[in-house]
Amino acid sequence: MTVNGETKSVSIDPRTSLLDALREYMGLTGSKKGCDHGQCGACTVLVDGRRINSCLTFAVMYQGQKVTTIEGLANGDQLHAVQQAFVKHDGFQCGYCTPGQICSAVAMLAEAKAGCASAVTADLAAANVTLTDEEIRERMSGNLCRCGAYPGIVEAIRSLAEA
Amino acid sequence: MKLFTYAKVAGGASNALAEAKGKTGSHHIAGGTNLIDLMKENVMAPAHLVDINALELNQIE
Repeated sequence: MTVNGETKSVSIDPRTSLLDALREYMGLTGSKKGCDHGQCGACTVLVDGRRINSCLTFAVMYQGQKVTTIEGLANGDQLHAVQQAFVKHDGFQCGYCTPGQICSAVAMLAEAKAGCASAVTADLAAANVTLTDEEIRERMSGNLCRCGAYPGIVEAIRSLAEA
Repeated sequence: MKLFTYAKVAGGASNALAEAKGKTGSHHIAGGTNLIDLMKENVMAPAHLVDINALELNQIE
């Protein structure tokens, strides 16, 4: 599979989750293992630009596909816009959920741009989505932050939605 | 988690059925967010997983 633009080839047990393959076999420990049950979102990575919980999927299912982890978002020393926004708006405290939050936010902004509705969208047929705080909170509800840095996270994402 | 064999099918839906046919403990997998969680707890223990993500199913009829 292609991980962060590099072709990676590993020989692993089919039971290996995508998360374990990234962390244990490719040395990419940016994606975090929180609950390992798809409830916390700390393991969120992007597969072909879409966000997934890497703990609840087998690595073997992604042969030949493009995986992007938190390590692959920045361009050298130039942080990704979402990373910059999280720093600027203090969108974290301990930082454990942050790689997942940021990957999720990247895909979530793309989803909103593409006009995908959420559970709180009033007009499902609307072509444009306005990312209100309620929309941001709903769309990011798969990513938990036990420190409670949500106000900063919402602020960071709102700053990008408005930009 | 019990060990399983894995196969990815492409093309029409009939290929997914053919791959699972006659194999005891076959199970189809798409997203896997429910199945894999249950497999981790040994609630489900499929012997053969048929990955249907590559099927050409892209419209509602």
